[in-house]
Amino acid sequence: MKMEIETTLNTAEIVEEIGVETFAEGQSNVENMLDTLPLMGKGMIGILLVTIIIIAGISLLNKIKDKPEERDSVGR
Amino acid sequence: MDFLSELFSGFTYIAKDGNWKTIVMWLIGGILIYLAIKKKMEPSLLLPMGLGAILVNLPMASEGIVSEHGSITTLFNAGIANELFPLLLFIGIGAMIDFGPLLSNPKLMIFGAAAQFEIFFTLSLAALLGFDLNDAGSIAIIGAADGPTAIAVSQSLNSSYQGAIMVAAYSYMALVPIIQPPVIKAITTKKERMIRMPYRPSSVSKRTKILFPIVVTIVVGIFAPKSAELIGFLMFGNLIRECGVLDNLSETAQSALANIVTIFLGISISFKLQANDFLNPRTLMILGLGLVAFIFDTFGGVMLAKLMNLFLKEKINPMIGAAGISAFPMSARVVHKLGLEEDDQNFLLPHTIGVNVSGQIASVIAGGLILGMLS
Repeated sequence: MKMEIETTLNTAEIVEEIGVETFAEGQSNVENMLDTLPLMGKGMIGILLVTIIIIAGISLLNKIKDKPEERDSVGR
Repeated sequence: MDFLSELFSGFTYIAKDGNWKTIVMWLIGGILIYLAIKKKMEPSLLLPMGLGAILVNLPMASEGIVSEHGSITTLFNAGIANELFPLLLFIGIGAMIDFGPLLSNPKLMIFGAAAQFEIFFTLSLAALLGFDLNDAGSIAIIGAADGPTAIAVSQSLNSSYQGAIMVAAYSYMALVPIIQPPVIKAITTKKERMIRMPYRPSSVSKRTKILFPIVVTIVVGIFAPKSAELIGFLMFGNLIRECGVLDNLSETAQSALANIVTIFLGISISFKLQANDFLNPRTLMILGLGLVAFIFDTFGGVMLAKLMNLFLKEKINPMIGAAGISAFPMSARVVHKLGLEEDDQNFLLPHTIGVNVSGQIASVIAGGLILGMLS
């Protein structure tokens, strides 16, 4: 059984067989590589976005102050 | 005579056509053991993998060891197939890490992210070389220099090359002191390497250190759900460390738990080091791609720092970008040492440690994103 799944950008067909995802049959390796370019872009943007959110979260957390007796210096 | 032929059946097995691969795997196992003991390269993983490679390739004997109910098969199914061992190891790793340097300068995390960009570049390169999408994703994660994440991703994606991926991931982690310095020196000038970065420690509240693992778990779990398990267990270990009321558990996680899981993980990985699985031309390509990913991760972190220096008044030493790979704490120490070689008063360690620990988080996020896109 095969299902055809279109990517959101309609740049490639990814043919999904049972348990295995692969590129469309008959495509050259160059075409396979081009199919992965949207994944590359999404991955890079994704990691950048999550990182920025975490940086913002840490900056907010750093506004939290301890009582003087609880304060801890960095790198202990 | 029957007794003698049975006694020597192992030798006759090797002599049969095609079974020379057995000897090759013994040699590979021997090399891994040599690297572990003589060169002290990641001995906790390479040594059990090396002996395991010999064990699972013993003629006749291996049929029991890797049979359906064999010992190595049982261990593999108990901890690798269900990704349990990498998760348990992450508890120990999380308990070992002090995120204080990162918390005092959170902007350093951007270098951890930049060092993972090249994972996605390697994914495309692997596709260009003819690898299936799932295999390409599994190979790309080698560049993260994060063994547990590499195991978890390659197992989830059901990669056909798990053995080669795991050997590559752990071997290159051990080779950080050899691989990174020439790459860094090639893309930086002496003047750049001598940039001093004053360290201005700011106090990080205990509450911040306690809330950090909780917040990161929630944020990463929401935005990269496939990372939730990995990041959750990593942060669980860190929370045990930072809460201040579980010192015994923290110590156990850092030592006993980490060591026990490492032993089981190392020997059970050898399930994927059987000759017929491991010895094919694609293994060499995977080792090459892993090296490319590693080099480009170093490249990416350094280049981002150089780009930022175009806009910053207070310059960053671009070498710290190279510490964004997940090989903790080796990469941080390597970069710090490079800084001292150029200027013996330039102490980059507080900054490189901050970047290095951020790379640990970023590599888990990258693994989760790959899983999210491909599974």
